[in-house]
Amino acid sequence: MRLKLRIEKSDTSAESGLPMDVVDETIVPLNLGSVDFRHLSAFKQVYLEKNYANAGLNLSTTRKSIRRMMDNLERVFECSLFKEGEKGDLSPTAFSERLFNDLRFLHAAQCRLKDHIASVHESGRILHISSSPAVFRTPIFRQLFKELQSVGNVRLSYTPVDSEEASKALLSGRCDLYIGTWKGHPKRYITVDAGNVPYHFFQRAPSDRERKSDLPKEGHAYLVNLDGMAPDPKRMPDCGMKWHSLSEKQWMRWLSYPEECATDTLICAPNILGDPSKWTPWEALGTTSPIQLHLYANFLRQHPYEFLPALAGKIRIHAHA
Amino acid sequence: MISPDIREIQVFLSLVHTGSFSAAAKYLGITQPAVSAQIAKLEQVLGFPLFYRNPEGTVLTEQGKALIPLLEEIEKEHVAVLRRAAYWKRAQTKQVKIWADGSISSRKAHYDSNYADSFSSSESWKELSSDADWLTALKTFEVDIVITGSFLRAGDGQGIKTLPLERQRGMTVAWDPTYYNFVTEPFDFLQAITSTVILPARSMAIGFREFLVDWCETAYSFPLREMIECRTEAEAVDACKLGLGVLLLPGDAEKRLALRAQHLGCIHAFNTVLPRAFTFGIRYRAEEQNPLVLSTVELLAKRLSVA
Repeated sequence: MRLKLRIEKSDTSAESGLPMDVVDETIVPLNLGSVDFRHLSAFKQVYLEKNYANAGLNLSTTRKSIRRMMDNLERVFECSLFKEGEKGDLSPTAFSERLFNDLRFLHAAQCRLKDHIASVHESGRILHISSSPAVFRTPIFRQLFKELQSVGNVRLSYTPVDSEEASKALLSGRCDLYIGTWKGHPKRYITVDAGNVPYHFFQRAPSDRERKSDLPKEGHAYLVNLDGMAPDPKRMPDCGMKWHSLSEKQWMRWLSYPEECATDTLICAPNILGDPSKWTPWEALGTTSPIQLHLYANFLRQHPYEFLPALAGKIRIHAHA
Repeated sequence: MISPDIREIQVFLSLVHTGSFSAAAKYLGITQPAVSAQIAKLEQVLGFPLFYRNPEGTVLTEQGKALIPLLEEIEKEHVAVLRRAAYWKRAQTKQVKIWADGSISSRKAHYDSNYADSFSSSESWKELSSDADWLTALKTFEVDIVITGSFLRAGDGQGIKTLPLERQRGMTVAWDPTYYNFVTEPFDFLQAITSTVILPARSMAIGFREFLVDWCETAYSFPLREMIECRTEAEAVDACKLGLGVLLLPGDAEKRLALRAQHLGCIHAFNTVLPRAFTFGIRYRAEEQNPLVLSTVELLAKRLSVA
């Protein structure tokens, strides 16, 4: 065969003045980038079935689509893959035999990946649940967390995230599920009702003092925020005092150091375990609170955990129960 | 379960290596939203998150980290399948792919004019790029024959056969007398390596750079600090003529590059210590069974030896 030589200047040779590339013009580089796993798995099926229609059936696609993929492969490799017999049966060419043989290692690597993913799914994926520390302290959150722990194939992990950071945490993947008073935009997040946090009245009173059965008419009244949100003040009982907003941080401090708070102070806050000798819950006196704050569970609409919607359903059932 | 496609795997690995969506997009030549979409698609296919997205960059999740070796293997095998397919196609169409370094040109021009029509295959010649990993390229069937040099048998074995065309001793040290005033009798190698050294590309003399670094540290307790690696020998000579440093070349390059004619000071050093150190030869896969490649190797050996 006579060589047909074509001189091409490469960047290197052009700059250096050294010999230029000599490329046989009969050799055209293959566009191998256009061959993906779809093509290769279609080829494998056709090779095994010796029939386009059966291969299509196995891959849940049409004969036409399989045929098109084989044509594409033949165009890329510039080699015929199968010879069609009179009855439509296919016989692989020598090139096909080699290609099928070479596919073994790729197939083995793909199987290893599949096994790994299956084991991740079976051993349980880690579900990062987040809330603000204030929501974490509420009994309803703890109960919900306990119930979710019983869901199979999921391992729960808790990460504290303030409500201002909720959106960022969900988008960045720091958490998969955010529970709090925060509600994400419906275009991006799926939000479900996670139940209500009941508010309780606590009175700062020394243990030796006689407690009244009604709400005190004097002193200070505070409404504790949860994630920066507070129940509607219009729904608060009329006690003759103006309800002031109180941060959760300050409420935590007063729980630890009650002496810093004036006696007769009335606090409306999410239920919490405190020292009953310092803080008297009004339920003890037979008064129940109608005040509640809604909690929501948020997750990304395009979150990769396919079980999140089902999990959200479970949260919804829990909330209604 | 649907397995991830090669494009998603490539995007994932680029993101792992670059560390940010924008850098990966730049590397792949696609837009940043396209990278995000591919990663989101991959996460959906796998069923778990692969990255934590932070303003400072991306951080792999534990499950994402565990996937890296598996996905790297798949990508490697995919490339291997396609390269082997290209190899089978070459075998069928009687084509042989050859990479050769810059020094081959004079020999090749000689046999092109005299013997070109005696080959039974059609050859595809390409100049070996300076950063080419020809060892891997040979092993993965990207190329059939590589003609280049190696120092102290670096790259020999490992499933690669070498047909030596020429063996040369020692190394050539060249400098521009305008910038360097070296004493040649006796020549002190230490005076040369204290300056910046200019070396040929690694692909032209595999093992030479490693040998020099090791040699300078062991024999002279002097670590090579400044090295300029040139893509071609001509580029290295030009750099030397500009006074950028002292040129070190494996074997006897004085005549081949006409160094003295270019008014460069030059000495052939370590002739006794390093006999037959530099091998210029034809390399091909040891298990090669394609008769066309084997016959081309034989023909090349004859032609290039004659030249």
